[in-house]
Amino acid sequence: MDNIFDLIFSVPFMFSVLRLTTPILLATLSSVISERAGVGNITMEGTMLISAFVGVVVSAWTGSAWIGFLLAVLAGGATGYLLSYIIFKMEVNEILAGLSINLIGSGGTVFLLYALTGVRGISSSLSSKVMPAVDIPMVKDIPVIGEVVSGQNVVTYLAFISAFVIWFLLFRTKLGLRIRAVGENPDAAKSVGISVFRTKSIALVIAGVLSGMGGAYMSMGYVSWFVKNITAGRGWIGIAAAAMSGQHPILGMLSALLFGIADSVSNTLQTINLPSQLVLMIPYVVTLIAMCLYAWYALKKKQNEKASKA
Amino acid sequence: MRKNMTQEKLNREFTVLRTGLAVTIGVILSILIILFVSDDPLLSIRYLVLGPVMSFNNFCSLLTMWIPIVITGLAVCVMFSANQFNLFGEGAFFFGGVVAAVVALSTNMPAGIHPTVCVAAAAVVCGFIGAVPALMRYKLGASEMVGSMLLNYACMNLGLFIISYYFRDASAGSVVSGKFPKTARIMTLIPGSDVHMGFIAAILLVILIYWFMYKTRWGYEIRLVGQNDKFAKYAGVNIGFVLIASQMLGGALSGAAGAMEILGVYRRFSWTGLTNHGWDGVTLGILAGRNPKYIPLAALFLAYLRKGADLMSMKTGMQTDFVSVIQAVILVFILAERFLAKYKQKRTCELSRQLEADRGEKGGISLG
Repeated sequence: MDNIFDLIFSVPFMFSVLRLTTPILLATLSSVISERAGVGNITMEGTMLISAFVGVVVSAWTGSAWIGFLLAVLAGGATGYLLSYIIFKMEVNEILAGLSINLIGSGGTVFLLYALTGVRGISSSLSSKVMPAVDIPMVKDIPVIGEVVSGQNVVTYLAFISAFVIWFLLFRTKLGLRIRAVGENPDAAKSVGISVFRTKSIALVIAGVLSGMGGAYMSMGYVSWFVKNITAGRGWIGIAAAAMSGQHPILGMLSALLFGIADSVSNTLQTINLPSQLVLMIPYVVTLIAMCLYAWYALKKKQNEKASKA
Repeated sequence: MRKNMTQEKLNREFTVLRTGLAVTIGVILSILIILFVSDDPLLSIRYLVLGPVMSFNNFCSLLTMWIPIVITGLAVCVMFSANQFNLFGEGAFFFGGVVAAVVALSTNMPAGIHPTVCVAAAAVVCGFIGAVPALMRYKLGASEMVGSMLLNYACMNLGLFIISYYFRDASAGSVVSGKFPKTARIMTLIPGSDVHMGFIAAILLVILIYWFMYKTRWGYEIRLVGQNDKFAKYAGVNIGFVLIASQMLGGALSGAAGAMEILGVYRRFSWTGLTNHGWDGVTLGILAGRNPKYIPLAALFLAYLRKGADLMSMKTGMQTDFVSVIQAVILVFILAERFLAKYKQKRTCELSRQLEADRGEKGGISLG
């Protein structure tokens, strides 16, 4: 037992929490901004797969990690636009539209990997590039904190910065106000001259960009290859984390951290000879339970409010 | 225009037209993809289009692929009819296979009864797990869809754990269970092929589920809750019961499908991850408009596309995964309200003018 605690309360463990939180946090933010715009967007999983794939292939072709990353993020944004087109122009139910995009993400990437590069299933034979790790000056010299916070992948920093950027965007800018307006009451927004389609599309493109960063991180930071289903449900965990935060970017960051911890615990436990499959269940089960607890809490709160009004 | 045309008929005709066009677009897109990617496009297309009927063996394996997706498609019809986006079918299929393998390996029973018990056990277990997302939605208002996805991953890992820690065949190179006893395997229907008795079970289930959904009170209540839960509530339907029972039924069907697949086609449990049958079920459920009656046809189409793609990949090295892209495109076009909307509008206008003229002739003013 002591052994486990030693492993968990250690610098490598904390370091890996931030590492594992990164993709979940980006998916969470993606879900937050979609939900704020009033769109039930479930494409995080598919978008991340598409971007993870684009990042690997482009960085292998160009030899530049940054060009790969940029195009991966653009692909994410394009997927977001495709989603908004399918939902609003073709008038497909948003959830079924999302399922279709996820199908394209899971099947299309594997297919294109083979069609474009001739490798099957896993891209490890491609010499794709990885985003660099960054040492933060000053901070890196602080004991413990420096070791945990500094030296992370650059995308990890981008992810945590994004949480604050999205907060600022949603609550301190005109665009954010519009996004929240079309999310809460599209008819009222329309009556004051806000284009609902345009605003929702912008929100979905931003959501796609965020997921795209998460996907690129998976294949160009977390690991250095693309493999079928590399995201392994992190998009769905992000959606759950966003729901738990009440669709708030900063609280969303905290709940994403919670799932990062669960992920990290499961990774740590694997090293001490616990059955790996059982340990791999942990993040999903923790997310499920947390989701239920939050929903229960929200329900009680609502009931209490009703009772106090009466 | 035909005399006895009604709005309802027009709607149905329109749905058929839209589905047909969507499927055609999907097929054309497949051919375009092949033309772009394949080294030998003509040979590839030949295998894709004719492969499944080129030989008796190929046709049999087409039927083998048809069996499980018919049942997962039925499961989705039931689950989605209650307006629940429950995606647990994927996990239930996998876990049903695990439960069947466990029961098959740890009990001794005479042939015939043994596989029946295995399938029933899988259905019961997956039925109960299937209640979880419905309970989350009904009791807590949490998203049943996100819940069911998380449940899929959890069930997959749990299943892999059970197989690799308790039933692993140590002599085999990879993580597989021991061989199933002969008594536990589902009997073959067509000798020399993999087509098993599940074929008959699938046909019976189509009839049964159609009857259940469209000819019984329970089926009617499920559809009513799905269409308008407030109305259903005022009509005195027990919504909680209907929601949970329908999702349990869906889970049970998916679980049974997985059990039949593993005992009918495989000699030991050798799945290493989710199998995609549940997702195929979602495609079929939508393709068939949630009506069990059309599932066999939709399943035949998808199995044909899959088998054709398989053969093509074997003969020419094309990857089969582009089938999911085709699936997605077909889904979008079937679901798109805007697709052909102008045409529908035109037809509806013509129809109402016609009806008005008919009424004018009779001199009546009654509406409807």
